[in-house]
Order: sequence, then structure tokens, then C-alpha cells
Amino acid sequence: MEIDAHAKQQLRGLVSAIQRFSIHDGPGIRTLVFMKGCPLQCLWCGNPETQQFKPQLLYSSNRCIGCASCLKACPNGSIIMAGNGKPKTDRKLCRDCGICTQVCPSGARTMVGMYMSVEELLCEVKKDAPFYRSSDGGVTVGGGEPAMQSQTVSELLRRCQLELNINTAIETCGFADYQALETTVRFADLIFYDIKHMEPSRHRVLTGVSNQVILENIRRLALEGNRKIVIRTPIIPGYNDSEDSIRKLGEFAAGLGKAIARVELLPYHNYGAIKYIQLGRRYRLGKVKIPAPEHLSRLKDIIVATGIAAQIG
Amino acid sequence: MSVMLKAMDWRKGMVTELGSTERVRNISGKFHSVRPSICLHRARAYTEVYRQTEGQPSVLRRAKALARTLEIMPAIISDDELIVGHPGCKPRSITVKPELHTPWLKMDIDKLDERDQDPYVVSDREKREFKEEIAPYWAGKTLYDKWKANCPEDIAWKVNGTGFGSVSSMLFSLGYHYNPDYAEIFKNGLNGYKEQARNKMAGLNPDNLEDIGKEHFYQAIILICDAIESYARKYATTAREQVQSESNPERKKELEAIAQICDNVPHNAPWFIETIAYIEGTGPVIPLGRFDQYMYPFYKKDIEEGRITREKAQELVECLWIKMNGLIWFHDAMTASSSAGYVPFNNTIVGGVDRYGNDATNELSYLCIDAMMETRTVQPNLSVMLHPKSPEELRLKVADLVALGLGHPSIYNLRTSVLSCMTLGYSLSESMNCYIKGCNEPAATGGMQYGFAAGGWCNLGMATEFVFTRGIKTLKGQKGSGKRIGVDTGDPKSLQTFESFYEAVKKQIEYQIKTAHIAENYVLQAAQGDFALLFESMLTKDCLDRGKDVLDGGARVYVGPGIEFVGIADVADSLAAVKKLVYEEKRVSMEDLCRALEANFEGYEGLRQLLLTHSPKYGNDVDYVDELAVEILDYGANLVWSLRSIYGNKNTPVNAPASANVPFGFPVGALPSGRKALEPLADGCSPAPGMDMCGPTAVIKSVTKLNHANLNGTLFNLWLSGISMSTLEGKRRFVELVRTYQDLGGHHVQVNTIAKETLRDAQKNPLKYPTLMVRVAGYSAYFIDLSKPVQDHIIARVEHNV
Repeated sequence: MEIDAHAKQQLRGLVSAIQRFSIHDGPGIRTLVFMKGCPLQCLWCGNPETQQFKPQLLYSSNRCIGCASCLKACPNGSIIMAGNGKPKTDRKLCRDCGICTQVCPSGARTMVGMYMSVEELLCEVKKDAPFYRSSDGGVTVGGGEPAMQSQTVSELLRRCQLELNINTAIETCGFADYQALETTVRFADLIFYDIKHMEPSRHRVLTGVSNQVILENIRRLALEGNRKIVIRTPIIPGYNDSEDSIRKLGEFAAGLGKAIARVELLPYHNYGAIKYIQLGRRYRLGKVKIPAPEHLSRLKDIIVATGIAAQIG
Repeated sequence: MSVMLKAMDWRKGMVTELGSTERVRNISGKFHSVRPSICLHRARAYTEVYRQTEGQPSVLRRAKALARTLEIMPAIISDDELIVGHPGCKPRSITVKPELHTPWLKMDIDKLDERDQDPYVVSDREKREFKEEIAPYWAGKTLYDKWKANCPEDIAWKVNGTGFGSVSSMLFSLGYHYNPDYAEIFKNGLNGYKEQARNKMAGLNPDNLEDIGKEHFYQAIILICDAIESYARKYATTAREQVQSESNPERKKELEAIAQICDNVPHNAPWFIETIAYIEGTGPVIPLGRFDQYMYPFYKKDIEEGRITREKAQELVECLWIKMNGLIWFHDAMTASSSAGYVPFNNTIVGGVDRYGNDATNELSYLCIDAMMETRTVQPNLSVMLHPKSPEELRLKVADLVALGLGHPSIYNLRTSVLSCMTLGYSLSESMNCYIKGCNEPAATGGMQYGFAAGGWCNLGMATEFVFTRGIKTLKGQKGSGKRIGVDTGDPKSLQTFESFYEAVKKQIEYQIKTAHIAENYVLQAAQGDFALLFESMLTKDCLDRGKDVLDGGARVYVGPGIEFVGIADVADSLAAVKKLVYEEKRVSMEDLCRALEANFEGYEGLRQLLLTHSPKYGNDVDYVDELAVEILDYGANLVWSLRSIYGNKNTPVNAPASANVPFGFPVGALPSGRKALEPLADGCSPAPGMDMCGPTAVIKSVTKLNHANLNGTLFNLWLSGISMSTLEGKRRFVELVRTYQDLGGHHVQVNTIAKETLRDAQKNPLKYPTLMVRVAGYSAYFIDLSKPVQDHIIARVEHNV
């Protein structure tokens, strides 16, 4: 679907964060744009603040000085003083209006999610352009799911790739209408495509959706054959890391042809756990351990045996 | 009890042996088992000679005193040593200079072995001798005494120990940072200089008023040349004595070689140069300069003619590194905390370009780095000069050394160094052949200049505070407390616009710079006449030609005395907070801000948080605040450039404050940046600790907005985490980070990669980390040798970045 020039100027995206000096999401030194909103709800999600397609309140009790400014400011009466001398937010009453974040002196209350025009996004992306040039780096759009905001992302990457000569990459979960997905990745030099599990039913349990669309979409992208795709699979001990399912993943990837550059196995980490608390949510994978290096390297060998390159991390 | 003392204790028992050969490991082990101590030989000799020579020409008294010192100084050749010579009577000792050190040492000597930063071993006998026989003679005769007598009283009390405009270090030393023309010494040795002195003396014209008295200068030069030759002979004799008692035939050969060499140096070739310089001068800094360049022809010839192997050459360089590590700059307590870790900043730089503009990296450049990776010594300051033609191989080698986490090397940008040298008045071709003097200051190679780098200070944190206190030092219990040190810029509440507030900050900066500058010139004046640096003058261009000492106008180029800026991030963050929250958004009233600062934010935590989190901070690539940093530094630097030293040269702005951000934070009250009283200021031109929230690229963008080449050196600490320097991919990213930093106009960068857990553990268990080295600021130091506040500062920085 094409939109006209005027519509392109009006495009805005909901972004949760822009992280400079990202060095794990594509070649060189990169700026990573996190789009907000995702159709999946993975149990292990490391960026839970990117799941909902709306700005949200984050609260960090470590930063809170207990001044109670937020209590007075809240128009919904959702904040009360807790026994520990710090305010507590009733998330059912909170409407994520952000008024409390404006009065909070210490930055304990912040809003995650800002609407930005393509121009504003480019302005941020361009800040590290001198570093991209010498390191072969560039911009990576992830999230969240970029395909949920396909027009904005497409325009951002188009201008980066064609006008600014900045290398572009996309991180997608693949769960989208194919046309939206194709629009999203049209100006991407590299696609990181997540496959979290090969069994549709198991995939639904882990992420909330079946993987049929995801697998179908990557087949079509691979068939077109004009883009480099890296398949990424998080390794969550006890959830998706059996040797059998990893073998199936390898066989599937190998069957997609030469568009697939490699499979990357991303070891589970719990860095995101604190963000669940800041969102007023419960983190459900508290007991999962970091995968052992030997296990990871065995899984990698299994993938390699199916005839496709693989790496850890 | 300080961490240092505990650190000392382990050194008695524990041996750390580092090096590529057994010999180097033995020497290294011995080095680490010895505590630094003082040596009174020089003080004794100078006192004796000065008593006997009252009324004689001053330069001759200086020459005789130096000669006498060399006469009584023992020759030390330790087991396994290949490189010999030490400027004290025992290993790791430093000579006391009574004409400089007496004013503080007579008060501090009893506690010298227990002080927090850089303690020294002193025996009771030495304490008694110094207090009873040496110090009394020098009363009223020291540099400090002469300065005190001349400098206007309303300036003198302000600039020594209050944290304002401080010229303290200059009062107890006589210039530092000089790089002799090694290539010239290789040609003719000291005999060349002696010959020149003889010829010049013979050509003096008694009818020419200008020539009167110069014969004494030349006589003095000839006298010290002879004394140095005898001193070297003493080493030859000692080596031959050891040959007699040595049973190992290999060692016998080595000792014979040492004896032969000492027969020949330094009157025919260099070396012992650093030893003599340390005995004569006050530290000082003798950077080896472009070691890989002037040594390479010899290395190449020896390799080609089969006299040496690369391994053997590296062993020699490792021996030299450990030898350099034993040189110490002796400081009073305040200066020691500013230059923590006994280090004398002997910068040794590899890379750069040759006279044709081609890359000058050679086999020896890599060998120097390899040697450092083996010995892991804090000295010399190993530096690398990079430019667009620097080979990728060298850049990756730098990454290897950085990965060790020693803080080595300092990485310099040739472009900013050349620009900086040209601003000092050097030609382009002289500037292309530059080296780095001490911490960060570029200079032309080859004994071209005399001068200080950081004679005085501009404490930007204090200048900011003084706008709120109307120039009065409000912190209690310190020198100058309750007194007006700065200038009265009026009631801050009457400053109606940000522009008027900004003007007031500038007025405080101007007053501090000018006060320090005047005090500096009085030190230079006090140093003339009685404190001739003969050895340094001999090796500094034009002194022999003019028949004048460096202190007396003999040097071709004068630099400094220098005004050192400390607290760039603090003033920028404070200005931004006041601009945004007080004047633009009016969220904070000037009344409340004044009250909060006066209370050191006690009872005003909400206001402090507002200042911390609701105004942009330098180091995040935000123009709003970065531009204030640029403007204020330009303002200060240009003001310094406009001032003249007594030699007629422009005074020199510098930003290489070593670890001084810690002691210079101590006398400063709370600031609008949110920094509390007593806390360290930000180091160099780095962001304030914990205030850089957007990663290293944003920090680099902020830092490179500053006009680095408008100063004679800037200092930038980059704290990196998250890059794995053990993989080629990680190293490449590091290389590109540095390349872009230089492309954007950054001058110096040093990298710390150590994990905070390691530092924490080292603080608790110093015994476990005898050689853990960190980049303090412009140089490396053993972590456990640092006082707790400096350690805490470093840990705070690392923590933020993990």
C-alpha cells in the first residue's frame, strides 16, 4: 500500500526508547529504535514496556524520595501512601495520563512511549551518524513489533537507506499481515526474524499466538530472496530449548534457502524483570536459570548439523 | 588507618612478578616488595655546600652542590639489573630538595609515613637530621619564602590551600615536563654540551655588558659535566667490583658490559639523563618522548648485525619500564592527592608521523606496547599518537593493551596535538614532530621549551558557588573559611535574567584566573637568581647560546605557567539547571535555590532531585547544556591566552587535572548541578559521574563539542562496559569509537574497562590486587595506592556504566 507525500509527512510513530551505541543488533555501532506495541505476549519478554500500544506509567521505587507530590497531582485518585513511606499506584484506576510524572522531582515516575514524527526520529538517528560511517553501523528498528507501525517505520528506513546512506536493520516477530510486514522491511538491509518455537500449539502457550502466520511470512520473504535474513531464537530453559525443537528449527531454516544468513541463539536473561515491577506487573519466569554455555553450544551444533550457520548471542 | 597503609603491609610479604623473562620477573618482584622512601643525600650535600660558599656566585653554588650530591650518592646495581642508575640512595627513594620542600616538609616529616596519599618511609634518624641540621639552614631561603616575601599579601593567602586559584604545586617545584633532545645527545653526549660551553666562554667579551657574569654560568655547566662523568664512573667501578665477587659467568659478562657502558655515558652518549634530572630538579617530569623514533635506528642496526634479538630487546625495554616506574615526584600532601600514586608522568609516546608526514609506526612501537603488557607498570605513561595514516594493526594492538584494563595507553590525536603546539608558537613542521609532555600536554620534541603545565588552577566549581555566596567560602573548618576569597558579584536574588547570572559566573572565573596568574608570576620572579637548573638548562635549546639559565630567560620557548581548569561539567550542569529551572520554567525560585545550596540540600531533597533529573546534563549530546560548556571553557581559555608571563609568553590554558577533581571538590559547597558539598568535581572534560545516560557515543559527541586544541591538553576518561575486548568484533567497535572520537576533534582519551566488583573487592582486600591498575586521570596508578575518596570516585563511575 502506497501513501502520498503529504501523508508521509504526517506519519508519527509510538516509540518507547531510542538507544544509542547498540552493539548486539546488527553490524557496527548502531542506534536502536524501540517501537511500542506488540501482538505477542512472550512469557520471557525482556522489554515488557514495549508490549502495549499506548504510553504507560513506569514507577521506580528506588528513585522515589517519598515526597508525595504525585498523590496531590493524580486526577484519578489512583495513588495512595503505602506503609513503607512510598506511594502506591492502583493500576486499575490509573489511566496513564502522565500528570504525576510532571510533578515527580526525582524521575521515579516516568512515561514510556512518545509519539514522534519521522523527522524527529531521523534527528535522533542522525546524531550518531559519524560512528556509523566508520564502523559500518547504522539504525535498527525493533520493539515491540515494527510491523504494527509499518508506514512510519518504512518511511524512516527509506530515508535512512536512500537519502542518508545509513545502513538499516529490522527486528520483527513476523506476526503481521504480510503486506504490512513487507512494507516494514522494504528498506531494511538486514532482517532479524524471531522464531520462538516450531510447534503452533506450544507457540500459542508461550506467546499468546500461533506461529502459522509467522512461518508462512518468513517463507514468502525468503522466497523473494532479495534480503538478508537472520533467524533469532531466544533460548528459554525448560520452555523451548529441547534438542528436538531446536533441530526442527534448524531444518526449517535450512529449508528456506540462501536468503537465511544464519540462526542466532539468544540466551535467556532476566534484565527485564525490574521493568515488570515498574509497570506494576508480575514477572512469571522468576525461577528460570540462565542457560549453561555447554547446553548452548550443543544446541548450536544441532543447528549447524542441519546445514545452516549458527551462532550464540 | 588508610587503605594505603594496609596496601603497604602486603608489599612486605607478597611478591608480584611480572615480565616476559625470569630476569624481569625477579626485578619486578623486588620492585613491588619495596616501599617508597626519602633520601637525604641531596639535602645534606646542598646544605653543606651552601654553608661553605656564602657570597659566591649563585650558579656556581648550585653547580657545586649538585656535584657534591653526585659525589656522595651511592651507585646501586641490583641483582639481575641490565639498566642501572637511580636518583636516590636506595631503590624507590626520592631525594629531598631542601630549597623547595622545607616549608612543608619540616611540618609533615614526622607523619610522612602515615599520610593518606603517597606516604614515604622515613627513619627517626632522618627525621632528626632533617629537622635539626637541614631545615634550620634553609629558613627564609626557600622558593616559598621568597615568593611569600614578594607576593602581595591579599593574593598570597588566597591561592595556597583554599582550593581557589591554587599555585601550591608551583611553590615547591621549579618547572617540570622537559624532553631533552635525545637525538642530539646520541651524537655527542654531554661532551658536546661541555665543548659548547667552553667555546662560548672563550668567546665572551668583557667589554660587552651583556656578557658580564656569563662565565660563571659556563663554568657551572663544565663543573656539572665533570661531576656527572665521575658519577657514571662510580657505576663502572661498582660493576667491576661485582664482577670480582660474581660466580655466575653469564652475570659476569653482563656486569662487564654495564661497566663498559658506564665508562662511556653520559659524556659520550645518553642515559643517566633521567637520574641526574631527578637529582637536580623537583620531580620532575622527563618524558622519554618519541622513544620508538630516536631508538629505532639503533634497534634496526643491532638486529641486522645480529647483536640482539627482538626478545632480548624487549627484555631491555621491560627493564627500562620498571626502572622508570621507580621514579617519583615528591609532593606535599595537597599536591599528592591531586597527582595521586607517586607518579611523575613520564610520558612515552609511540606512533605519530615522520618528517615527511608518513606514518612513523615501527617494530619498536609494537615492542614498547608488548613490554608494557608484560610489566604492567604504571610508569612510563605509555601513549599512542594516532592519525589517519596510523595502521589498523596499531589500532588493534592498542585495543589489546586497553583490554588488559591497566588504563594504558593514553590515546592522542595528532591533529589536535599539532594545532595545540602551533598555538604555543611552534611552526607546523616542529609541531608535526610533537610528543606529549606529562599528562596530556602536547609540545614540540627536542629540548625546545621551559615551563609549567599547571602552575595555577581555576576551580570552576568554586567560581560557580561564589556567585551564590558572594565570593565567600562558606564551608566550615577549612583554610579561608568565612572569608571573601572570590569577588562580590552582588545578591544572587537581584540577578533578574539568566544573562546577568551568567555574567556573574564569568566574573568569578575571571577574578580567579587573574589572581592565580599574578601569584604565578611572583613565583617565577622568586625563582630567578637563586635556583638555577643547570642540567635542565644545558639540555634546553638556546640556554648555552645565551649563557642563561632556563629560569633566567635562556630557553627558546616559554610555556605556561598554565592555568588548569577543573570542573567543566560542574559549571555547565549548574548553568543549565539555573537557566532552565530558575529563569525559563521558573519552577525553582532563586531564594529557594540559595537556601538549598546553603543547607547543602538538607531538607531540600525534592529540589535537589529536580535539579538532577529535570535539567539536561553535559555528556548526553544535548546542545542546551553542551553549548554552555563550550562557551565557558572558551571564555576561560581565551582569557588565559591573553595574559603574559614574566618571560613575555602567553599564559597557557590546560585541562589535564589528573586526580585533582577530588581535592578541588573538597573545598566547594553544594552546586545547582545537584552535586553536594565536598564531593569530587567531574574529572577532566568528562561528564559528572553518573550523569551520562546515553552511552559512550553521546558522551563523545558532547566532549568533542569543546575546542580541544584551544587548550594545551584536555583529559577525557571514557568508561566502557558492554564491549567484549576479547573478541575481534569488540575490538573493532572500540577502534571505531576511538577513530570517530578523533575525527570529531577529541584530543586525548583513556579507557577504563574494569568491572566494579573487582574494584570493590580490591578496596576491601587490597592484598589480593597488588597490581590492579586503573586510569585515574591522564595516567595510571595502582588502585590500592589511591586514597579512599579517589577509589570511591572511580567505583562510582564504573558502577554507573555497568
